[in-house]
Amino acid sequence: MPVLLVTSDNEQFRVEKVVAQRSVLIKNMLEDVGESDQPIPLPNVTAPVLKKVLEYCDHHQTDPLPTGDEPSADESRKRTTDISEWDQKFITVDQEMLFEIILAANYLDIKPLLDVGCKTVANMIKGKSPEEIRKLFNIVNDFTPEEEAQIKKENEWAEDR
Amino acid sequence: MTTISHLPPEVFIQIFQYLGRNSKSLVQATGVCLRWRAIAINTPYLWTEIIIHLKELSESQFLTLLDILDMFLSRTGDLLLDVDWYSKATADKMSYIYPIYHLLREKAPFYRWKTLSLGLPSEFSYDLSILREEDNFSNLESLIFTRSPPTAYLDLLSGAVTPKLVSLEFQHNVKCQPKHIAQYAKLFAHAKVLRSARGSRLPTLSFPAGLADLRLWELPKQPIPNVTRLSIKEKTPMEPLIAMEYPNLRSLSFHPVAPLEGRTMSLPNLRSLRFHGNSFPCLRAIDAPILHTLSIYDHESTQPVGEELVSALAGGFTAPQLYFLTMDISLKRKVTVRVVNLFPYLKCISLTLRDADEGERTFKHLFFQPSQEEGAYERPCPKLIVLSIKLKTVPEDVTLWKRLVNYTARSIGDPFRILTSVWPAGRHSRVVGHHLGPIEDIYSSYN
Repeated sequence: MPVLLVTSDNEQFRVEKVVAQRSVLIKNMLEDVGESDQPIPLPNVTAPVLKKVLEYCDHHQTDPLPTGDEPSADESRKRTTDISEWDQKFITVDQEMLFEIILAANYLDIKPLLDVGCKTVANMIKGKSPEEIRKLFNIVNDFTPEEEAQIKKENEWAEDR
Repeated sequence: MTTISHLPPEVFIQIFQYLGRNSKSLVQATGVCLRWRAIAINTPYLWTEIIIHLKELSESQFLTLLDILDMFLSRTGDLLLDVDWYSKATADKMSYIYPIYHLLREKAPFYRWKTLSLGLPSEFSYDLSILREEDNFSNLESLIFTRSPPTAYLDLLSGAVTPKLVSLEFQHNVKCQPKHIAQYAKLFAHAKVLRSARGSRLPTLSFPAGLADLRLWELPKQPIPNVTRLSIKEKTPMEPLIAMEYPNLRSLSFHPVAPLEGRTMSLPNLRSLRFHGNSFPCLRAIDAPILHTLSIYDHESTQPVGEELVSALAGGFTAPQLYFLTMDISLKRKVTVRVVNLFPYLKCISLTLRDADEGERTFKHLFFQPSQEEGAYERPCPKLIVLSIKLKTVPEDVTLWKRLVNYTARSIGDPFRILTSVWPAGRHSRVVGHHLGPIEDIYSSYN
């Protein structure tokens, strides 16, 4: 049975339940309300972002759902940032859309999509100096000169290990 | 406009975790802005991998090191630590070692150490009695020797209470000194996992009763009655292999050579067998009544393999319940079909093949052969439900390969779904059929 999702900009998406349920938030809502054709409002997600998220959910609809038994980021000693090719193509978007997808995945509770987004950002950060990272994401350096000196010392130590 | 600054702290923590605990990239990230820094340094887990690299330092350099180490340790809260402690300098150059011990005692006492990778020179003979009195390694689970350990450290570790120490690893060329056998016996007491690499020498101890997972370079010289998982890297003749008994072994990985005629290697509980090399007649000796997974990796043969493999599996090799077969091996035409049909319960097969031509041929041989009736097809291996093909070279025309597999899978009318996944670095492509539902699509994996 299809599910009707309504975005913050009031656009409606009719999707298969199996696709919508990749979102734990939606899955729980559907379980709470039971069989109903009531639209599900998603006030934190816009239509272009939901469209993209649903593309991901559709592609991964037959993947096993995370059970919670997997080693979490906290438990796994070495975290790999490998991303499958399809996911890589999917997440090759501009920065604004990337962060929108991450926020939506976080809100909708779609852990595998959130992982893909976080890995992508981590891969963008890796190997760059603080200045290069600031430039990449348009971040203002708000440290005092004293703090900068301390950070420089830490960086030298990390470099030297 | 949504920017990175809109991400909540919990998402940042996840991103930082992907940078690696206490990694250079993480340290760099803490220097981006106040918010990033606050999130990172207030997340103790991100700093729990402690690297202590001792080297020849001037006094001022050493004081900086101590200062920085102190600061990083302060960020770990009271979480357990993974410590990598190594030195490139010799002991006589390490005149500033004691302040480090004192710092550790204060900020990272040994009961917080969960894993320890120790790579200090064996002549590193500092007196550790200041540490021994109060501290112990009560949470130490894993101990890795990257060099033969100094006596003082071995004394310290073996003299401590280590009830959780279940995993010991001896890396390349680490030799256990015979004079330290009593210390090793204590460390081994609760071991469940033991690994040793090429050139390592293990102490001449009986394996502890709880040992379940043994990964060695050579065949052990003593019985392994309780071991459930055994992996031997080096080529091993069948004679000593058969002489061992494996009552509880559930998983075996080995590279046998020098087959023996008329002898049987009884593996009553074996579930999974990884066979390396091309001494296929060795397989004849295997008697594994409940084996369900067989993997054959032949990176030695220079010519495609055929009859020698089929005859070894057909004559002597006993695995009536085989369910999953993996072959990374260059095979002659139609050998795969013959192998598959030897095992009545075989349902899944995973193959590594040279190129798209071989992939196409194998796919058709397994699923899609013209039958006697004109225009009709039959399946030579009707019981197979999962096929995974991994190509060593990316097809020139990936679209054609995709269409072929898609068309073929549709034509056989089976409930196959074709999936792919990326092979590292994109040098290989892989197509997987799953018994999940109707074909929906096919994705290529290539660069």
